[in-house]
Amino acid sequence: MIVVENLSSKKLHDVSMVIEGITCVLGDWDKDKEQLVSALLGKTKFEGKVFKYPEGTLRREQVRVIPREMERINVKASQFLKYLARKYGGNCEAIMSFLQIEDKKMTEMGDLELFKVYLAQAFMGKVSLIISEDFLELFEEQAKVKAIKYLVKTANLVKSSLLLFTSSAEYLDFCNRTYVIYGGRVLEEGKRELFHPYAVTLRNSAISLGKPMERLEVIEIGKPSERGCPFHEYCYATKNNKELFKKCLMHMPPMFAKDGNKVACWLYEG
Amino acid sequence: MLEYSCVTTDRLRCFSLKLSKGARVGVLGQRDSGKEDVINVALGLKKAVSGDVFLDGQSVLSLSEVEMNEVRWARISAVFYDPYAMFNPIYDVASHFAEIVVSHGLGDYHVAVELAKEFLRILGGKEELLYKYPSDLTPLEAKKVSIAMASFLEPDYILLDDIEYKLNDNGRASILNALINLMGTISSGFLILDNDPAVLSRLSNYFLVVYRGEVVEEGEEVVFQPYHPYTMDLLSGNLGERNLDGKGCRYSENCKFSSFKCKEREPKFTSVGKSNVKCFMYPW
Repeated sequence: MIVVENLSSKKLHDVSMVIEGITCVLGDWDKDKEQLVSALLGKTKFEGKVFKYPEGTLRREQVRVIPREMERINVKASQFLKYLARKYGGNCEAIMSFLQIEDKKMTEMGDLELFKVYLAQAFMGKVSLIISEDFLELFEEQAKVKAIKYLVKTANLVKSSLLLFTSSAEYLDFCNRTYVIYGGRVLEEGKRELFHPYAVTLRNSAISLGKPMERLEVIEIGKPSERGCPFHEYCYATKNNKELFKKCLMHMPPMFAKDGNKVACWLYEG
Repeated sequence: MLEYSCVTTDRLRCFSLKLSKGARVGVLGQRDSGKEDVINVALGLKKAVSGDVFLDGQSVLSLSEVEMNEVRWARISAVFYDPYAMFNPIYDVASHFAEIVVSHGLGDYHVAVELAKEFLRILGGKEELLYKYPSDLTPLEAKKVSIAMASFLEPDYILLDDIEYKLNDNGRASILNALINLMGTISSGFLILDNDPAVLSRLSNYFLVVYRGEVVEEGEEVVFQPYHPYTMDLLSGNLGERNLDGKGCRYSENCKFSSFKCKEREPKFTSVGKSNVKCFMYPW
């Protein structure tokens, strides 16, 4: 279990999380998420604590990152993996065979094949945490669910925690716990059903089969607000409620309990 | 009428389609389907091995570069998968619109900017975007600007490649709504290429399904009532990890219904329900 306690940096504000099993972070991939990954890797200066429970320190060599933009290097998969194996240890041939990775150039690979090459590093050495940046936005529809299934199976096999970043609420069924993060703040901590208007808007944004010219009733989400609740400018709840808008603009709400979740939204006060 | 007559490239096999003004046709295909060649060939960016593209009966492929430049943007335009590929990084967004207007002899910088503002408004984009440099645009802004560029001269045909480049669900929903607004405003014919059937279902009323460069099924209800095994697998999320090239039927190496006949002979189109399907399972 990895514990993140009151993490604050330039883009993060008092973020606390428990990463255990399959933990998801729902939200736009932005500078705040990049800093969170950086902090977990010990690359960014921050206030607060990141530690492994009960052992203590989370060591960099125990963390593997599946990057958002997977570079297509002009070498064969085996050459790339041999380089990683020298760093972390492990038998390349066995891992390639297990993941059914064809030994061809990474420049010639499809999305899913390339993903498996990057995933292979999770089978090298002792791994406590796999961080999966939000690569799903860059994948074609048909490969997304398959990639998540691979990630979940791998994390279970190597007995590692998985921190999965996603901006799509469609894949939360895989998660044991979900943190909704926007504008560097945790807006909700919960399981599958989420209540914060930001999470609800993301959920409603998923495009399903529809009739020709049928619109989706969603508000376009822009940059988070620096003041008050970061989502107040786009929130459907404040649209026709001036009092609520004023409150959300002036004050960042604390966490309120809602059906087992913790939600930072004035709608759930009392 | 924009007509593709058995267009073949290194990635596309005998692609045929008739697109009339005002029509909205969707091409469903994965990234390895070669569907982007439908755009590249029509705009003269790639040579076809065989076949032709006709614009109101006139062969587009036989046009000189000067004649082709008159067709691009004004009669046929496109939005590419990576919208940033459509910009020159050292010019601001407004200059791109101006270049198109001036090069077609349709007016000056001010005309271009006024038209651009109007189309950005239709697409839900702010006027300020015009004075940004391409590198300052977010992926959503870049997509909106590229759609505005492809549509502001109200060309006869607009060809759109995958809308989802680096966009999250909310960004994709915004682009989908923006395109619906646009389609209700101008009378251009739209050819939408995408790998997401849900996107196509809301933007098109006729669909073609492309597997490894070949159209395997087409019709009005394909995304709701698929008949070809590839379309069925694609819609139900049951595709294999690798798309192999079959010798007879293109999908025969991955198809769970495949027989010896499928691996040896190429099926022809046959009518099933409201669709045309290339599969030996039909007629029943």
